[in-house]
Amino acid sequence: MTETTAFRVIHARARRRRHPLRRWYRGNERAILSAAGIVSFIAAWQIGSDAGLISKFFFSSPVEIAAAGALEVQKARFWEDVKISASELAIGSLAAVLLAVPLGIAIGWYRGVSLTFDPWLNFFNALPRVALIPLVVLWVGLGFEMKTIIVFFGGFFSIILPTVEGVRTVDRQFLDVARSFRAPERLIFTSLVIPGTLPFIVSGIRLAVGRVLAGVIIAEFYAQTAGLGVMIARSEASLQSDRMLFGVLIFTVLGIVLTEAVGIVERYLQRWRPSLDLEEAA
Amino acid sequence: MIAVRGAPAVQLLGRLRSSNERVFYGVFGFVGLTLAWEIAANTGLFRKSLLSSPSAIWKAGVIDIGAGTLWPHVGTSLEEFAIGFIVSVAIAIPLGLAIGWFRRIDYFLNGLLAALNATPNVALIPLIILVAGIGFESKVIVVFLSAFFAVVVTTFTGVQSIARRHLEITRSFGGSRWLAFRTVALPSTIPYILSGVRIGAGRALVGVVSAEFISANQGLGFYIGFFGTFLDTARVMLGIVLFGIFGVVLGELLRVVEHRFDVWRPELHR
Repeated sequence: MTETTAFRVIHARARRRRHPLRRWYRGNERAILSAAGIVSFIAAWQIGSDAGLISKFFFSSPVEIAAAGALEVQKARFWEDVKISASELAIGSLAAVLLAVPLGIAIGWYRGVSLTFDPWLNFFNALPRVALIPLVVLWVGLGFEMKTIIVFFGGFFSIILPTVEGVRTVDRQFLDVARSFRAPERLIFTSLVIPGTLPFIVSGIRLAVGRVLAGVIIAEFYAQTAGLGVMIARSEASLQSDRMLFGVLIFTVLGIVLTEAVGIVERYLQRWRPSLDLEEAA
Repeated sequence: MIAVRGAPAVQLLGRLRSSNERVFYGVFGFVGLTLAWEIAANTGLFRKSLLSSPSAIWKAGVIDIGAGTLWPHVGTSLEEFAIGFIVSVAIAIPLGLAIGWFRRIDYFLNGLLAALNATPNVALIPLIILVAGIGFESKVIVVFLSAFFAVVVTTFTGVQSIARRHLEITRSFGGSRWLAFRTVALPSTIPYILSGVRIGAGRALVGVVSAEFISANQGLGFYIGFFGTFLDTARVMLGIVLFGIFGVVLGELLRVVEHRFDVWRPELHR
């Protein structure tokens, strides 16, 4: 009898605790707190700048940035800049992927070749590629080509290095098995090398996202010809911090979207991913 | 068999190759491409103003180092890098540990950090110049920001991938949460922190170059940009090579430290 009462007491207390609001919070704690984090950051920024704690001159405020953005999207010049930056990014990154992947697979397949290129690939990977901007300016001038080439360099080495590594680390045992069953080279390639390397390629692309974005911005800052980077730099020169931060915000959104997109592909491929530390050479 | 292989020199080469394959091919690739570059430049395959040549870069280096005009630039860049990077790591590691250890802090800062981490930090350079001027401070801030998020993110990922079992064992034996943190969380996180530090170092280097391009009157990035405008390709290349060497040396050093702590990786103890 006493046992049942004890049970009842605990049970009653447990039930009293489960207020629906609390239950809802418990279930979605992560999402709620995460949203609260972002909202309170924006709110603190707004209130701080309205109260004069944060200098509006430097940091503007969320409302002003939104207003500047609303004004900006009505200008033809803005869309011109977006188009230029987007094409530089698209062409440069696409060329980087299309060249780095086959080349990386070819280099990685021949052990001697891959070891021969190793010091150079490592050098260029460790080099901040934006340092190449003045050199590329000497080649092709300050225009569209220069910025596209910098984007290309930014992506290329980040992708080729993991690709080479991926091909090189395809399991020897699998290759031996395939060979002893006289699998044609082509089949070995399509059924062993490519699937084994794919996760490496994708994680290279994930690293490349940050690099190409940084590349396009710095190249545009440097050249001062056209593009979103120029819009940011010009807003700084004319002390319009709201417009400048609107430009930065575009790159933030772009960064999040691209990283997420690659992340989705990466998680999809995770199923056959060899357990290896892939943050190599970020 | 050996007789078929031919001259002793060839034999020696073969033996060298098999004894230390990686180094052999590496040196071969380095020397080979450098020679090819030199020869191509001298035979006029491409204009020297486009890529210079190894000998011209070497000469420029000897002159500038001899005259002492290179060191101030290298020194400035190193100083900006060192201060920004060390401060960044010193703040990022405790913050990353706190985020990883306390679930609610993680939830709260999660979205914010993801957004800030995805922002290309170099986009903030104009803002930083606006706030801190075009001097030394603005570059230190750029370096700080460039490295910061990489270190925070890897550190808290590290704390979150501790082997659960180890924490449970500590608790079963009555260990406090602080003991678990000190003896389980901290050591298993160190390999991650070191990866983060290495990645952060690479980004910080990008920060140095970018900030110096945009506004500076000293520093290696300024040196490259300055001589670019004078079409002095040899000096542009010299600056690029120095940045590359710095990046490689730093990366390798950090990698050595990282490998030393690899045995602490929690994956190995699951």
